[in-house]
Amino acid sequence: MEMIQEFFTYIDHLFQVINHALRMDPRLYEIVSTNRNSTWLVLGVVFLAGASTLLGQSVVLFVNRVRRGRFIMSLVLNGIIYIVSYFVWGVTIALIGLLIFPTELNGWSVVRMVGLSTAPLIFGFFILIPWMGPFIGKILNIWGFLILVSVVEFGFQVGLWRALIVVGIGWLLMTLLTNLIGKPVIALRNRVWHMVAGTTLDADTQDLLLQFSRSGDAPALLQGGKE
Amino acid sequence: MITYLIIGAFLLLFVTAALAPMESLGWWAGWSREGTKEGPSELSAAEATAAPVDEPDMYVIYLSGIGAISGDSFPDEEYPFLHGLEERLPTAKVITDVYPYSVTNNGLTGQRMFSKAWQQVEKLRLKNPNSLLGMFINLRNALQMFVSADRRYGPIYNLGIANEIYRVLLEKGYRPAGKRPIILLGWSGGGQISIGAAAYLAELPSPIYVISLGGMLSDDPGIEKLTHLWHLYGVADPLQALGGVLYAGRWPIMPQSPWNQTMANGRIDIICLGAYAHNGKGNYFDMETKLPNDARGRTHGQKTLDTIQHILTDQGLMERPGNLATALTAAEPADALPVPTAAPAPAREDENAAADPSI
Repeated sequence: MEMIQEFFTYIDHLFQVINHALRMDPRLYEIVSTNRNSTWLVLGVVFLAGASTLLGQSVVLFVNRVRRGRFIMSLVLNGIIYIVSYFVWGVTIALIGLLIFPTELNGWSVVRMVGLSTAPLIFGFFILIPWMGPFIGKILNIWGFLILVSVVEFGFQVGLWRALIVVGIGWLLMTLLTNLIGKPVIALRNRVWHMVAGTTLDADTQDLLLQFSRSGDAPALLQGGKE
Repeated sequence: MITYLIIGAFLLLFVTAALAPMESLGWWAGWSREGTKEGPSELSAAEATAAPVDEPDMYVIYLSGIGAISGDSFPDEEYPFLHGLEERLPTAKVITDVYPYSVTNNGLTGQRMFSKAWQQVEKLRLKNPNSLLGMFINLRNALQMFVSADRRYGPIYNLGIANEIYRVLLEKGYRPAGKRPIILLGWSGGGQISIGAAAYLAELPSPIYVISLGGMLSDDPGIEKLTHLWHLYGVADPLQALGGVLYAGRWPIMPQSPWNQTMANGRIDIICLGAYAHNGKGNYFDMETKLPNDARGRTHGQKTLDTIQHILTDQGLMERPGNLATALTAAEPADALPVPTAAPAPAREDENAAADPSI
């Protein structure tokens, strides 16, 4: 009974964190940066953002005829991948920020706050919407970027331009790392994807339909009616 | 309180829109097999390639607008038009039982989770065609039209529709070996779905034509595979014009898009019918409102039918009405068909067609 109550309290707090993160509320940043217990709430936000974003882009899972169980597992996996990715991203931002603007601030506080920038992606499943979905996706990414900049501004007590420099250098460093040592990481990620979903996310609808049209399962028309 | 209601309504609308592609995606992934009709797609190879026996000159498949609730239930105004179409195209097989807003041809009142609710909406709409609840049908179907036009989902959605069209064609006697022309007549949302399905139907040996009646057309890649597309529109119809605004591939600044390439190849004709509205008085099917200044005193609906007849004649798909009338008079009672009074003028092209009273 107590566990159920704790669960609902957690959900309630999670909604509050999401709500305030979306508004870029400095009071939330204050709480998250000083309170270690907020880690679980930030993890919840990042996990939901990852799962929702994949739901929004799930057309590839459907095209590959991923079964329901694997579909759910894929969403969970993407939530976990988001947690790992944003942890690396948070550490990168914290290191750069502390290097350029030394403060008393604990690096883990910055990592936690960076996780809040995923809050808009909780609406990632709206990317499913026909025609305007991809546009919504871009808006959500811009919103997340703005939260990230405001987090850096708050965390290191710097102005907009300095915050943009930290984020920019962080992005450059991540790109560099991905190109230098990213290959084995991506290979590992792809193997896990294959295991869970039975597919990678690399092919688009047209490719897969073309492959499928050559298989025996294809509907009559797709196999071609030409003489 | 009102703010929360508005936010709630928007949220509901967004969630509904996000769920719109699920029916076709679920169908493709094999998650849902309900409502799938068994048909003669399973014709034996020998049957499918056998020489045609008594096939009509062409097949005209009517894909209704977003107001359709199933393959056999359209808004009332469309029935006189469809009867007129059958009368004017006596050598064609007119097919109306494809429901273009479901990949499995499963109407809203068919085997579905919410079929009871849709049945109630249908009853209400029969009592009052302008019922607000009827708008839910339009909303649901409009979202499916956007699914068809979306490059992410279109290849799946349009495949489902093309397969249903093919299945119904076979059911109605179509045999690929006969190579009879297939004409997709798409009204409103049906216009977009026609060009989407054409991408797959083009695999058949028959020429594939699309006539769009006030269709909200995107720059669907299916256009490039068509034999020809005629887009009929009215100047008082802003909905059909939306296609040219919402889809960047139709903007003149995108010359390599499927739409602009097909346009450049001369395989799209845009024909203005006059001051036609999308809905209500003076729409494409209106058999009561007379055209202003029409020498023959026709109604909007009659001119639409005339134009379709002219297009098909001009394309060489049917006899000129005069010859046809003579032939039919010899074979049937004189009152079986209305005999057109004027000789047809070429229906080809363009914006100026509206000014030509003979069309």
